[in-house]
Amino acid sequence: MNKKIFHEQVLPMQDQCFRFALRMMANREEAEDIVQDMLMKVWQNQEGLHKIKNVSGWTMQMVKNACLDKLKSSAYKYRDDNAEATLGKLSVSDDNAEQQEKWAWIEKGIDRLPDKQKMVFQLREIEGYSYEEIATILEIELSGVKISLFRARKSIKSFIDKIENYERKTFQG
Amino acid sequence: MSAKHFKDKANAYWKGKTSVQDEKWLKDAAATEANETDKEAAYFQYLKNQGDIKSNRKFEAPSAPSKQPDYMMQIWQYVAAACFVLSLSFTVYFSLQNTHQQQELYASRQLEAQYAYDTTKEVLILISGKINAGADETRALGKLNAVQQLFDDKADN
Repeated sequence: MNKKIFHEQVLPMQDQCFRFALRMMANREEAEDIVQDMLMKVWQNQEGLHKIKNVSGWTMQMVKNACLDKLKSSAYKYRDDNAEATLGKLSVSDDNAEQQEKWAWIEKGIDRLPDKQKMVFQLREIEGYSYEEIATILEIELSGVKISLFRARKSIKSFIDKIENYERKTFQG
Repeated sequence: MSAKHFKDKANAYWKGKTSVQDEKWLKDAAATEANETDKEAAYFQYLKNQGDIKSNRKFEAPSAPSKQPDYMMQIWQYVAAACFVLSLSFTVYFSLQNTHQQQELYASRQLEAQYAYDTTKEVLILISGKINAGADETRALGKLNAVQQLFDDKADN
């Protein structure tokens, strides 16, 4: 029964967890390691899986905690300074140079967000979780989720606007 | 649906007035409904694209769930085993000790009985000797009485 839950509910979360870890760590290898470790831990302690009501939320919670622990640990120093470039390479699949450039700027804007806003942004905008689910995963108040998301969007929009205005002025100049 | 509709939805998005479904629509519609030059279009296309990123390393579950050793359980098992061995040793030691003491007791009691027997035998022999000596005396007195009787009878006649 627990093995079935693992294969049907935990394993399909792998890519989602990876994207979350990648957003937080800005390092592909590190993100892969965190997700593999998490899956192995869940596999080794699968006896209690049937007792968990929201397995997907619980899985994301584990990844979130692992990422925050890693970021807090003094041993973790490999936060890529060119994180947006790392993510950009992953995300852009076509040859549209203009779009690549825009996406790189958007990524830069997201990367500048504080950790909490970044987590809320990732879960809502990329993974499509509801406010309630995000509050459960991140263990924060519902109002905190809404405020963080609003601030994150505002910050990204303002960053994108600034870049666009700068480009327009440069082009006109 | 039109570019205007997309624009309206995007404005609502920035104001935080969209649902998860609206946001999904924006991501899907960014490639078709929005103007190519629209800065929002690139943003929502980016969000949609980010959802397609996949991990290169697929998790392969071990054939059987390997249980992590329960160290506390192991410690308790060792303690229980040590207690068992100790109690067994004490039991064997004390039972041996007890047997030895009983053997000694039996031996001492046997010696005492032998001594008592010998002493009693000696006393009985002594008493028997004295009784025999007394009987001889009595026998002599009996003879004396008979002689005395004879003299008395003679005197009466």
